[in-house]
Amino acid sequence: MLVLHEVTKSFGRTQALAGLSLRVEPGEVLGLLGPNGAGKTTTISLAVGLMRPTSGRIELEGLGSPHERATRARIGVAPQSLAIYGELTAAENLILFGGLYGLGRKDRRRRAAEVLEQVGLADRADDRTAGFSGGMKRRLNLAAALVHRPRLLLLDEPTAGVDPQSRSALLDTIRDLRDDSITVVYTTHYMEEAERLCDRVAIVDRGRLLTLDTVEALIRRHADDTSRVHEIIEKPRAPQPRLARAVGATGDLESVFLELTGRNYRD
Amino acid sequence: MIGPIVQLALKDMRLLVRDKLGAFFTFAFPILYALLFGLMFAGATEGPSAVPLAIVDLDGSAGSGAFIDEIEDSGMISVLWPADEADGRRLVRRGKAAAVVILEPGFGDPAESMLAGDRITLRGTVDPSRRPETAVLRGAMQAALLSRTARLLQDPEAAQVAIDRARVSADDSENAFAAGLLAGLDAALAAAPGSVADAAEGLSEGPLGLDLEDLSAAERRTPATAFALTFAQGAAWGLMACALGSSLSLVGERNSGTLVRLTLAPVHRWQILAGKAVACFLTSMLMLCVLAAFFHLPFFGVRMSSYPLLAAAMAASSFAFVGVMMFVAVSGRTVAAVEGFGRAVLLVLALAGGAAVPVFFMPGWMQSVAGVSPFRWVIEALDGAVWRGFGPAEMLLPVSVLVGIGLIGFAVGAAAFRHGRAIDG
Repeated sequence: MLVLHEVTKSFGRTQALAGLSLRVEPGEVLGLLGPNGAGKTTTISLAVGLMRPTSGRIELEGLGSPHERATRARIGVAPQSLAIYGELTAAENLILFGGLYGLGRKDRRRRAAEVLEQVGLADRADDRTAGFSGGMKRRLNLAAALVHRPRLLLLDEPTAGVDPQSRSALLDTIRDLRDDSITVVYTTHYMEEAERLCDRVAIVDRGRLLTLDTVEALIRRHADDTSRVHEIIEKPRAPQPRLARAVGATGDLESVFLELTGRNYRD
Repeated sequence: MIGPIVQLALKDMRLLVRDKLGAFFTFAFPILYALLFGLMFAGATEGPSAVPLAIVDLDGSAGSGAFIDEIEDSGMISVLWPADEADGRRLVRRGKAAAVVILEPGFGDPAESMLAGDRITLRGTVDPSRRPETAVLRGAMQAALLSRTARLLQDPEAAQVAIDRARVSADDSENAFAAGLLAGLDAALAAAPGSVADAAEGLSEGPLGLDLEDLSAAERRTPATAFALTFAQGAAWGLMACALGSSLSLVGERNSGTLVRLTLAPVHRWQILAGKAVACFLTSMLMLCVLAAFFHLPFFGVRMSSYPLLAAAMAASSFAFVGVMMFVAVSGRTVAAVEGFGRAVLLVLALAGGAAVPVFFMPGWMQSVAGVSPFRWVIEALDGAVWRGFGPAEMLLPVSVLVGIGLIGFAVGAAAFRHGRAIDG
């Protein structure tokens, strides 16, 4: 569905992507994980045509170029920022975005009602969103990305700063999308979300792909490494460069993430 | 006890200095503002600047010419030379002249008329918004007349001729001027005491009078009320508010992320900008319509001299401020920055363009500078349609300038919007 070939992107002297190659299969939920500044948001911006790569190639198989209007109409994006109008009601927001994506007058009203139901905001449809809680705004932000029935959905940290209830509701909604054969690219800092939701996980850092596999395969591979670490601790003379980083790791995705990206601060 | 207060105060001072824009408006802007006002009111300490007066000399005699020379020499009036009265009114209508006065055939030398005891009254047309300047005109012309008379009397031959003519004209006695004047007064008092009082009343008004009709009345239109004269200024401030509001809305969308979502939708970027522009244009038009309707109420009595031209002036003004909105919107990356820049620039342009103090009050060079302010052209276009009685040809210039300002502002704003990193992830 979405293919990146050796994509680079520079902002002046800063290289956000340094030859990233990635393939997202149709109908899968791909988790895009990485520390701050890894290039996740840049990847999404390039995928939807907000920016052009410095080099490399991006393909949206079966959809066309992201710079074409017809292609954009089939992509949904929930940006990190809460891109909704506070002075409009929840329904008005969705009707507006539905209209911009080419839905007819009746269809956009019907779809607005449907996606509000989907994200659990049907009873607040006629309320101005300025008074919504952070979690409600996040759910509406997702609804706005869904209103036009996209085939590819790009979610940039959709659960940032929400309470556990809203997060759980958001994850349920996204899981339902997989059942509808919508391809989802999902960036997050929450490893448990990726474990719970994603078919495959790509870990990126400094603009490069570090690994790409199913959650189970990554953890299994990491667990093998951890076993080796314990073995090395018992035999301290054996050479092992990753020893310090792996000590104390457990068999979960966060351990894999920290092992691959390191424990240094990323600001 | 004092320690925390000092620490908190120092913290606030540090925050103020760290906020460069805030520091600019706190320390630098007052200096700029004071400079601007100083330049605007520079003429106040040096006496009034020359009032532009159109004179139509239908007499064409040496006497009328000498009188006009005296007027020019006064330095208080700058004389314009229209071809005829209609041309003079056109200058008044365009704001180029405060008034037009007519020296009728037979006007002759006003000094001789004064010696003959005739009160001279000049008729003409005045710009109602500049009526206070007629006091300057009257004073300058009185001074010119007295100066002309004094100059005449300093030349014995010319004085004799003038007195002879005056005597004939006034049927005066053969005695000296003063004796004759006294004799005349005696006779007049004896014959009709009231006539002396009338003469004294005339004397208190000076030997020269101005009978100036308002431009709108002279052109058989509804007289301009005070509200008609200030309509354009009110509209200018309203347009500024509309443009600033739309600018802040655009930069607010950029910061909140809604602009990202709009850009992701299958619409062209120019369509997004055009949507903003249309919203700003319609808001401005609505504001102007409400303002016009309000002042159309009987209490205010504002009657437009031309509704089609008013519509054109309103549309051009609104369009110009769409350009201003676009230019201001790309001036900064945050709402605070754009608001600060927008208020500062628009306020200066408003003051320079005559939205607070009429342009004619400013020094000459600043009146020329005012041409770069959209406010100056908004006021000219709206005044032209409301009470100046512009025709289509006269409306063409301000409307064209306003449309040009709109196009340039929109082009600059759109280019900056395209090249700027408006869409951050």
